[in-house]
Amino acid sequence: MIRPVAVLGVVVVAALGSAGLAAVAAGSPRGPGVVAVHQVPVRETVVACPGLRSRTGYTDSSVAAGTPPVQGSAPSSGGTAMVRTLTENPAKSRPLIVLRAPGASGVYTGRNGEHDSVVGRAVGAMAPGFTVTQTERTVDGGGRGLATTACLPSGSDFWFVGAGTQVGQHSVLVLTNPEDASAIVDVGVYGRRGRFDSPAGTGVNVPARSRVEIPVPTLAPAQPVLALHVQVRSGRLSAAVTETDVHGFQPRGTDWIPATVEPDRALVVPGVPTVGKDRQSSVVLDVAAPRADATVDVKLITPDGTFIPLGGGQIDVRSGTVRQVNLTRALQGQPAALLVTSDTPVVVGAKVVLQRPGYFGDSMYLAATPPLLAPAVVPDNIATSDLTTRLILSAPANDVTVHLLAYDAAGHERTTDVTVASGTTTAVAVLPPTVKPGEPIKGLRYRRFGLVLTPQPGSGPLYAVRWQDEEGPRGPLVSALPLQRARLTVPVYPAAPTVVTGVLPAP
Amino acid sequence: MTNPAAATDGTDAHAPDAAGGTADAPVPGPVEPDQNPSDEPSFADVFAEAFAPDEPEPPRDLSGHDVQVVLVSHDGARWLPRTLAGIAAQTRPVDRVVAVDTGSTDSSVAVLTGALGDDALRQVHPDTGFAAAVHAGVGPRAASATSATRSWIWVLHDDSVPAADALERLLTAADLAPSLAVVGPKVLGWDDSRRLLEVGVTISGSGRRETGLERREMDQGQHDGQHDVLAVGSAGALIRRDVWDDLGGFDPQLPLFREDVDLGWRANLAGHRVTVVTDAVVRHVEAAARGRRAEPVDADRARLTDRRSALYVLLANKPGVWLPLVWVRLVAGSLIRAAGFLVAKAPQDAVDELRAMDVLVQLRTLRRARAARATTATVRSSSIRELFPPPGRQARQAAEAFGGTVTTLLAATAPVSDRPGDVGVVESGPLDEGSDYEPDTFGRWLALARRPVVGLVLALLVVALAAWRSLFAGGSLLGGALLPAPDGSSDLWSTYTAAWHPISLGSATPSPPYLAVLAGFATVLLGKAGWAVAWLLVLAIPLSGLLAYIALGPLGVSRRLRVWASAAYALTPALLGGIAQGRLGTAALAVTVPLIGLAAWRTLGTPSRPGTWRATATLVLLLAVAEAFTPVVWLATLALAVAAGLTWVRDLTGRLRLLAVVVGPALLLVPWSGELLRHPSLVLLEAGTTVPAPVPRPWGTLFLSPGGVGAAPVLLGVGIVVAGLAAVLRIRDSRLVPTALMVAAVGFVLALVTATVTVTPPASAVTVPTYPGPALVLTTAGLIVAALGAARNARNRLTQQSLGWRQPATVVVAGLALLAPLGLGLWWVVRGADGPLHRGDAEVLPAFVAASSRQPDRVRTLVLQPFGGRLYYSVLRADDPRLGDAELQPPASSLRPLDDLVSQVASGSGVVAATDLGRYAIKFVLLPAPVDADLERTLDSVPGLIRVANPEGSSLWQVSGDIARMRLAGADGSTVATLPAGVVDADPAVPASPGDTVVLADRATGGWRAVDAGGTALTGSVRDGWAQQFLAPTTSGTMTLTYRDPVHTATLWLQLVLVVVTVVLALPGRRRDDEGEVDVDLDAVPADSRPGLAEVT
Repeated sequence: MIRPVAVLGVVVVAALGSAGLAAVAAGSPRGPGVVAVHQVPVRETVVACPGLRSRTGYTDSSVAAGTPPVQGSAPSSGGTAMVRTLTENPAKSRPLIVLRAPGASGVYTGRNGEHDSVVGRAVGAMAPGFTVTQTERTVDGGGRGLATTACLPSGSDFWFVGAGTQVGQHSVLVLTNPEDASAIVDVGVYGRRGRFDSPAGTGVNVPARSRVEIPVPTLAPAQPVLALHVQVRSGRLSAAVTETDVHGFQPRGTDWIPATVEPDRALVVPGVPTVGKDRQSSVVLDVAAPRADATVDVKLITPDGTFIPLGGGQIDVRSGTVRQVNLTRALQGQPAALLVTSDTPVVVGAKVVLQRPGYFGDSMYLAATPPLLAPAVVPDNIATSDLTTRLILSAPANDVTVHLLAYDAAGHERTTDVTVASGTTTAVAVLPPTVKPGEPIKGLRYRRFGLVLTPQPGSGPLYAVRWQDEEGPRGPLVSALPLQRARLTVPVYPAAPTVVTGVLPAP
Repeated sequence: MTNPAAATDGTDAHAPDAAGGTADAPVPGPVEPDQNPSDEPSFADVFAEAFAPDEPEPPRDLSGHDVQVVLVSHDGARWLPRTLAGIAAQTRPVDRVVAVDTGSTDSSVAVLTGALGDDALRQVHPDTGFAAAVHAGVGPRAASATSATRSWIWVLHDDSVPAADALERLLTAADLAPSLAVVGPKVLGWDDSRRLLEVGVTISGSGRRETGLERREMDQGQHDGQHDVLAVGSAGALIRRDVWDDLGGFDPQLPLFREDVDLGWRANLAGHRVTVVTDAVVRHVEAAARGRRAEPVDADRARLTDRRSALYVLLANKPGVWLPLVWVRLVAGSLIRAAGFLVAKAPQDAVDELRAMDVLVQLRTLRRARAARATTATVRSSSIRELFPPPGRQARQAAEAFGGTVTTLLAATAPVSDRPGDVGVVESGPLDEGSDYEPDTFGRWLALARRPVVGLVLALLVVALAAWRSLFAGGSLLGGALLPAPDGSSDLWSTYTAAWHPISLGSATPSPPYLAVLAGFATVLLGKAGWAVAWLLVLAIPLSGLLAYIALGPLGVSRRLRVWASAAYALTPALLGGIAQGRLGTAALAVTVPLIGLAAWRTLGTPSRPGTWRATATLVLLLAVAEAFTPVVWLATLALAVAAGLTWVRDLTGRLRLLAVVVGPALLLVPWSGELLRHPSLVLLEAGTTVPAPVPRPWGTLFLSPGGVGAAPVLLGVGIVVAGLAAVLRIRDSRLVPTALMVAAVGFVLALVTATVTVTPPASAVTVPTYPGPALVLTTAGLIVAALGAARNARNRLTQQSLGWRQPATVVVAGLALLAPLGLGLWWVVRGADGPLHRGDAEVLPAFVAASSRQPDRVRTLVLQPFGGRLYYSVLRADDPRLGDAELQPPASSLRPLDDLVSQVASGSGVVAATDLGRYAIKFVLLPAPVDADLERTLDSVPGLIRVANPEGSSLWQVSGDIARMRLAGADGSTVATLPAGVVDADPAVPASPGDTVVLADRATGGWRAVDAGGTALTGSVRDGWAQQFLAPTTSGTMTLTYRDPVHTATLWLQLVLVVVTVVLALPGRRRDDEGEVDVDLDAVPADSRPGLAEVT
């Protein structure tokens, strides 16, 4: 005799029990799961430099290439790195630098009258971290100043903020196409009063393996500051902007304007150096709102912490315009990073002029950079008794510990750990591995050395700029090089075939 | 070999069946004179009295005529007494009676001898045909007849009774018009004197015997009068003796049927008149034609004889000019009719139809017959044309017959049994005819509108349409598991039938059969594949509600309960979630489950009504459709069949049916079911793409919630679960509750399994969770039926019991149960049916990319989409992804080399060259919007990839190099030349290039064949572990590349045959055509209580 109530009890218990078992078996909510990303060393790196512009007499132009010393078990041989001039016929191009082993660096010093773009290409074991920079040091004349820039891989979208086209400002947009296919480029120009439609910047054809220079005044004349948006419609290339500022016969400095990150709502412009409290030095932040009206907040990340500058930090920028904000007084002579937040995407850059009364000054340009979460490599640094190389490190969010490796061609190495407290900026001088800290560097002979910055695991985002500051006989010579992640390894995401790509939202 | 006494009946005859058994019924009454009841006069007395001289004078002197009755009998003892009495009662007495008996085995001979005496009876061999029997009765050409007397032969059957004045009126007409050669009476039904059987006959072009009357036409005098006709039926035909002699009488080649038509035709051609005189009446049983006559054991079937006679008569009498045409028409007609009989599941009739065609080739017999007719014919055929039925009428009749068949089929398929009282009775027969012939159309509509089912369906339709509000227009329907439908049903058909699917790197995977189901549906919808998908999803809710209501009819519960159950079933969380996720499978399953339940019920049968094979075939078909969409149903079927076979299906036939139900759908779904065998994990998936969206824990299945996007709040399903569980308390009431709970349990276990496991489909490299929706549809259905079973007599039970915990508990359960459909419906309307299902732009490829992909190079596009740490990619040819592509992707394992290549290229590591993509014929790399900025930057820096444009928010690169689907490769693998190719096949001109290879960027299988210009097959091999290549031809010329898979083609044909056979088996059988008269056993009723015969006796 079966009692129905007992059957009901059995049924309920069985259902609950099996569901419980299933729940245990299923574990956590199911899904495709996160896959471990596989990092592989880069096997090929191609970068292009905008070009040496050697001037008679006063200019030393050089291209420096290097790869960091091998760490861990990466392959130590089997590959070459070579820097060549860019010519239309690759067979005719001559190698300027040839590197054969990781850790090696090479410098090519240009000769007078040379005017070529150069292309660096590293394959195999030489590709990871292969970095090329170019430096021009002009001690006198209209183009006096120190100008450095990193050579970049080809891309399709660049922003530059800071070039001006007023009288005395000579700015040039350099488009270098190292590829085998020609590229078509549109340049969007934003000025103080809005966007310019310039035929000179529309449909610019850059033939394969060649360089095209566009004087920025042909795009938008008589503007104190501009934001340039270089969009590659087809093909790809690398772009750079340089500016030389002359006031009458008085040189006001020259430098390359680094590319800034694309429009965003939160940006960090690192590397504002120690600016003297004299009137002739200045730090000017340029904010462009390319898409919509923006209300921008600026904060300063200084060694003392993060604060809103005196006089309020809020700026309104109309859509399509660029505004300049002078931060010289607010900085009060401290190294800093500028933290820019906005309600709509903006692009930012900064121009720093260093000048002592009675001497010539020099300018340097800063840009917003992505945070440095992976090692960065600076292959060529110089130390003399007059020239100091510093790193300006900012940690806007969390404490950061950076592992610094200085090495030279002779195989000397020295490591230092630097800690940057959360919300502060630190400037540290870096020395060649052979020079002990505190020991004065004797003589003007260049001591070249390489640097590898490695943010330690657990650190927050780090922003870093290398700052070179030379006390020249006629005034300072300065230049800034924002540091970006070296292409040591790349993540290789496992690829999976599916039918839904493009048709349906992401699976 | 024949049954001569019953000749010349309708062509509607079919093989006699059970009705023939009535001949074995005990024959009371006046057959044996010594057994007669005393109150009834013996036939000898009646006969003697009839011949008494004191009969009234006829109004016209008919003495100049000599009438000889020829009465043919064969086992006609049931009717003979009345026939003889009718002859005896003639007002114009017959002059002679000759009876011919063809070997009767009953008491016919005794009856005849008793009435007529030995001399009047001629006994002939049982094999004698009707015509020959009449000849035997007529005797040789009568030389003795005087010229003054006109001799007549009056042919009568043993089952035909002439009215008392029949002969008088026939003779009067003949006397008035001497040109009459054959005079026939009006033939009425035997026991229904109002029923008109014949007023003359003719023959249609197909050989059908035409009476020109409607079915069951009543005699209201509408055909009265004297008409010239082609022929008159042999029962009661009065034939002039000299004409009979001239024409040779009935053609002895005609054993049975049509001899009357033949004679009349010949008489007409000979210039005589054949006339029907409706004043004269003969009643006729048409025993042979209606299958009431016991056939001789060795006799051929009536239908075969009928068709043979029909063909013979046509071929013997049609004018010679038309003969070839007639011949062709008869062949075609016979084949079509045979096919029709097959479909109507009358295979014996089909065989008869085909066997009868032997007449068509008996040329010698036909020539002889035509020669004989040529000697008597005196008038042109065209002069008697009006005696044949006009061609238009035949077409109309064919249409009516077809309509009748369709109505019959529909009536038999739609189990509309809406009577609340019919507990446990499953009515599969035709509808009550009366309801179909309501005269008042408006009243019928009104009655229909008052039915609760109409309100239910309308409400569900409103709910579905309201929830669907944002999905009516704006691009293709897609999202979730649903890929956009192609343009037309032909695309679906061609995808289904194709052996080689040109998607990705090409695949030979058998197409999922749900494509064929959808294609069929789309074909009905004027070829709109998009409509088929949308309608299936929109109508899933109202349709499943309607079908559930219909299927629940046999349970015999009140209409209110049925409405609740149907609404609860239609609004089950599993179906709602399935629709939101674009799961065609769940929707299709929800629609089919009620029908499956009904068919299963009929297959298993009840003690009072055993299961049928027809229901089994229907069930197999329905299960095949359901399993095509949701193969998990097969597991449920297997489990339930095993359970049923172990418990209450004990007989062999029942178990065989269960076996058929398990195996049948798998056979119908061949070749796809083979794919299931190869990859058993597919059983847990359903139609559409595999959506790797997270699905919540299995706890939800306890409350029928399938989980995932679009699932209803878990608690909304509680009512159904509680009601179903409450049914456990009534588990002993009937077999229904435990059966339904068994279904629910199996569904629940499968739902738990699908909610727990993850599978890796063969076409995907990613492990995905399975969707418990289909299994939960089964669970819901089981719980609802169980609840209905328990609630059937709840009211009576509860009112009879004393008040206790049961009454309030029932109220609570009922309240919860009622809330479930209401809450779910409301929630569904508020939420809407969209998300992730949506309407949108299904174009992935920019127009110019699609256009260049259609060029002879047939280049492809790599589409990338990073998500969740993975880089998803697909290789598109000229077409965007469409319905079915998910299942048709090549096995993921075969794409491993491409996985690695894509992964490396997209990483920008430079380890591999992007130009290697060219080996896969990939010319473009597309990053669809929204573009992943990191990936875009990386791809920008990859050497060999050139950005070409930014079409509408997406990013596009071109792979440098010469790229084509087909190329000529040198010994070092480099591309020597690209070759033009088609989508699958190709015939490029290839220069002589010994040592080179022709490389195809399609996966290598055994199906590729290449021949050079000279017809020599080229040696094929596999390149790089995946690609098909051939040694290049050594002579210049056109090389031909084809893909052939004979096994696939054969399997598709096999599938078609199996489906057709199952459909034929599942179709309702042809309705037995005994609607003519109610089959009353005449002898079972006292004679005097039959008014129709009172006047005869």
